[in-house]
Amino acid sequence: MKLKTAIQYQLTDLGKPMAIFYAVLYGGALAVTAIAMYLMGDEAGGFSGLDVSSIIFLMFCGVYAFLEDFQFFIQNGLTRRTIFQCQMTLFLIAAVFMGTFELLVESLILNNITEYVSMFDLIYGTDPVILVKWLWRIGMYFMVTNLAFLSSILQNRIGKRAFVLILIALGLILVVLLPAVNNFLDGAVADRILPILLAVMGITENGLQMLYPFLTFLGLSAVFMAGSYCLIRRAEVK
Amino acid sequence: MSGIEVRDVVKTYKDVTALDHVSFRLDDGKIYGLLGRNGAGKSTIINIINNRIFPDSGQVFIDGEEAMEQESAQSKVFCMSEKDLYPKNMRVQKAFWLTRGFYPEFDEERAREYGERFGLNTKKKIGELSTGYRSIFKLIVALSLDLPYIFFDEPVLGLDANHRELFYKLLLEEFSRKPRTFIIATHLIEEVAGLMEDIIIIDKGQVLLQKPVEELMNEGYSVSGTAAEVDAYCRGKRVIGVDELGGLKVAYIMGETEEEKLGRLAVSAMNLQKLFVKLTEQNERGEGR
Repeated sequence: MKLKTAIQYQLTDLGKPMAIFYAVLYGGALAVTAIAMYLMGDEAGGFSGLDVSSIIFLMFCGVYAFLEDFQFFIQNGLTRRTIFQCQMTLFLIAAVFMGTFELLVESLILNNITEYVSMFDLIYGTDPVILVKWLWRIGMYFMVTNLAFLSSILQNRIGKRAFVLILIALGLILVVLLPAVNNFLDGAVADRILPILLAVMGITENGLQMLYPFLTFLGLSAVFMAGSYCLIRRAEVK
Repeated sequence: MSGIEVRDVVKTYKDVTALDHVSFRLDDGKIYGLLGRNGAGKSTIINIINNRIFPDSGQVFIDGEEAMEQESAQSKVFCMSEKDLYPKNMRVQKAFWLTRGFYPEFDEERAREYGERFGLNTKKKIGELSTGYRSIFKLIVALSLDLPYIFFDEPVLGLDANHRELFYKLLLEEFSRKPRTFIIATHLIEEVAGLMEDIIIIDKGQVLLQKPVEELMNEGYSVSGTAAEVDAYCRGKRVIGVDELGGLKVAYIMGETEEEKLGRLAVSAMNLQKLFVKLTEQNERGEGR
């Protein structure tokens, strides 16, 4: 019963921010499009990547799911296991809803009034089966929300200072160390890593393998979920 | 088996031992006072019982069931604490509504009635309430829950005298309507002295004593007079503290009075606060264990 109430609470709590988010996102995009079309006519062009904003929105949701709701649920007698179940359910519902809603808006509205290119189209550049696009988006959204949730719990467990140090270290590795090593080895690192990264996103030498990114999102989500569960089991109200 | 049993609980924070092998038992249908100085460990043990933090070792049982991470056990307890665990943007009336969802035993009608008596604006967001009214909101939730064990950790923080009196009145009304276990952790000892049946004193992470209030009050008294006469009387007695002013001395004693030895000494009962202060001061000096 507590799980049901918790899920209902989180869904209603998410509803308003989501509505505002979409109103601003699509309202802004359509307004800009209308102005561009008025000023430039057929040469107005289109826009792309609104789903990147959705990723950022979901990351905020993932972070705040722990920051605010964890202690509220503990106050009301939920166990950490139930809280985890609630959050995973919420993330899945949010990912499915947002993936579905955005696809519908793009297909029925945006693509009919302007040249809209989604993140999926930017990466794969094709006109895929709609089901593939839908599952890809849901998988991506679910994964990033879980990543944000995991990072929020991690910060709670290890403290802000240690968490920031980890982020700085990761950033230095990715932005400084790896490129430096790559340059030193005349691009050998990139030659090794890039094909793997492209492959997990479904871009292979043999063409597009759309199962791969879905498995990647599923696998990473499972890893993040496992990490979150391990950490939340001993998370304390601070 | 009913009641809350705390068994050999240890909790440390870095190099500070907050709870040092703490054991005690809370029976059902009583009002307990959980007393202790700042940093004694009161909130720590309350938080452990209420599944907010974990002990390093030891166990807690609620009605014979392991308390930690067990929803069935945690459904029997509720903690009102000074820590704000409610989302700041949540309106009071929504919090009442949600509490009803989490706890079927929550009487929303009663909560609204208490809100009116305290003058709480239930349309306001929790974050917009003053410190006092935030406490009032939380203790209304606690008072409106018909659960077997309700913890109040510093319930009257920021409350004016009128509201404090109202809270104590409502607590007794609730207890009369449906006897259950209330545990009050507070620094305002004399204000709650009349409410409590048993007290548990925690000092430096250990249980100093657990006794019925009446029994404790019967054991403690003070004698005052000249230093020499007081010293003579106190020989062989359990003296928990002394106050001296010029040539006059007051000794605080635990035990029975010896009428025949009193002579010109004045005897008076010790109030609970004085008893608490002297016991904890004695413990600080390393005596009396």
